[in-house]
Order: sequence, then structure tokens, then C-alpha cells
Amino acid sequence: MNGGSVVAMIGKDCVAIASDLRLGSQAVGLASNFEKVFPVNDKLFIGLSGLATDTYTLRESLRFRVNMYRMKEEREITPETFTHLVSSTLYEKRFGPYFIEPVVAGLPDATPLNPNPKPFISTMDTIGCITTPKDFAVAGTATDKLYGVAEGLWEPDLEPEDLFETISQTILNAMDRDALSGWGAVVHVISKDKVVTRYLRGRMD
Amino acid sequence: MKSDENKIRTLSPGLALAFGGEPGDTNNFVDYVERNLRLYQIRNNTELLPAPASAFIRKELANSIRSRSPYAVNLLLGGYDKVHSEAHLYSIDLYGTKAILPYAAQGLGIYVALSTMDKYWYPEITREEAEELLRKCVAEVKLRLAYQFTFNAVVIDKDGVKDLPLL
Repeated sequence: MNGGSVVAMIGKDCVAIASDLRLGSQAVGLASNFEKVFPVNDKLFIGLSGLATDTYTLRESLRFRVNMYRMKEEREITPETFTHLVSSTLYEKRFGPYFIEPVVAGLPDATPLNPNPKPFISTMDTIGCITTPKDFAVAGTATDKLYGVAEGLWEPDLEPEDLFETISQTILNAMDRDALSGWGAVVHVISKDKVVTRYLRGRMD
Repeated sequence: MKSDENKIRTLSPGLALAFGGEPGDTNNFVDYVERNLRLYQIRNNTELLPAPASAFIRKELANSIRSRSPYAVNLLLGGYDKVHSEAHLYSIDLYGTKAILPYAAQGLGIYVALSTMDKYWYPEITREEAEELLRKCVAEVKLRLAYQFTFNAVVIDKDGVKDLPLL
């Protein structure tokens, strides 16, 4: 109904997550500043594509739950745990779901039990069934187009700058074939010591 | 039935709400918002700024749409934030979809008004030019729509909410 797409990709010791910026009401474009990717902590982001009202609602309820987790556990939530938190939040509304397909992307911190953590992405359906791909995850109105382009462009072990180029070209070209996505994009590349956020200009039609 | 109903409510000295939708729902919902913002002001001895006010209104509508009797109300919330000296405009629909925008329109004239503002609005537009653009939108809606109705408008600035003569 509102349109929008999200994509996440794994690289070499880095992950990237991107969304378009369109907010529409059926065919009418309302805003070109509607980001669908939100930070959870320094190295963890979530993309919430789908019904825009639920994007807001779910962001706020997840913000509450993550803050409660942080206070109770006195540590940051890991991407894996956060994925299950999102999943159970969605399943709570099993018979009247949030119309959201979330995409989670994060770099887990090294721990004694897991000294060399791998970059992590996951995606869910509207009722919280988890998938954890090893390459890329897509969601939103341009899902099928994103799959096509990502399948063609992605390769294993991309460095942060190459990953940025790959994910940017993927979302820009998929958006151009989808009437309900577009109007610019935002890309976050998460690597070990920094997160780089860039805004892409896109076709405004 | 009536072509000159006032559909703009002043909520507080720096906040005004324009509304459309199901006639009974609109007034009822706007009354509810107005009284709750007033209650907040009395309890905390401070006005709710536009951004938190928009979050409150959005949440009420987002909860309402999944309730047994949802409000069918579309809103444009305008406000001047005295703390940060900024003007704000929010478009909130009956589902609770909130858009933060430089210009917005809703209702029967949405296509005509949005197209007009797409063409003539620019980021550094002055107050006089913006008022003139609003008149241009109204004129365009009157010219191109089959329904005839009259418009009223308000301007919100640091001094509060004032009526804006359209002709």
C-alpha cells in the first residue's frame, strides 16, 4: 500500500543494509525522506519494509524491548538474539499481523565463546518465520527484482567499498523496475570499526 | 450539505490541526486530541511541541485502526517549535502513517494541490511566496474540481496561530 524495499548483503567482515526513501499512498508519492532502516545499536540495523504505520509502530515497540534488554542484561543485544526478539514480537500478533517483512543486518562482537564472529543477516515473514541467508536478504515491493539483480551482482568476500557499490547498484536498478519503490535510497555499510551511511539519489519518477 | 465548514482546529498557541474524513469521527477525534494536549499542558505546565504531539496523534490513530471501531480521520498537523525555532508539518492518515513534509495535501484536491506545489515550491521559499502558493493551489482546486466549496486557512508562526485571508 505504501511501497518500499529493503536489502541487506554480507561482505568480508562487513555487512550492508539499504532501503529506498519513498512513502506513498497507492500510486501517489507522498514523501521522499521515509527511511525504513533503523539502528538498534552501533553494529546492528533493522529494515522494516511494508505497511508504513507498522514500520513506525514496530520500530517503537522494538526500541522499547531492546532498551529493556539492555537494562536487564547490562550488555548489547546480539544480532541472533535480536532476530528472535523481532520474530516473537511478530508472532505475538499471529492472527492479526503487522504487515512488515523485517531484514536484520549486524556484525556480532567477538566473545570468548565466539572469537571470530561472522557477519550476520536474517529476514522474516510477517508472522516471524526466520531465514538466515549466507549471501543477501531482500524484502518489500521490489522483492522479486531485488532477487534478480542481487543474484547477478553479489559475490563472496566483498570489501566494504565494493559491497557498498554492489548493494547500491542492486537497490537502484531494482527500484527503477518497481513503481512503488524509489525516490532515492539510503545505504549503511557496517564494518568492524565504523558504520558508513550514504544517501543515494535516484530517479524521481 | 455545507460548503463552508471549518476543518481547522487550533490545538495550542503553536499548533493547528486540519482534518478530513468521516464527519462524526473527525470532530470527535480532534476533540479528544485537543483535550488530551490541554491535559498534558495542565499536568506538566508546558506545551507539547509539534514533534511529540505528532507522535501522540499517530499512535492514537495506529491503535484505533486495529480496534473494533476505528476513526476514519486524515490529518495535517502544522506547528511552530519555539524551543528549536523550527516550523513543522506532518501528514497523518487514518492508518497512522506519518509523513514529515515540506508541503502536503489531502482530500479531493490532493492531485491538483500536490502537482501545483511540486511545480512551484522550492526549499528557500519565503513566507509571502508560500502564502501566494497556497492561494494558487486553492484557485487550481476551484478551477479543476467539479465540487465547489470555500476554503479557510491559518498561518502558524512564533506569535501563534492566525487566520490567513485567502482572497
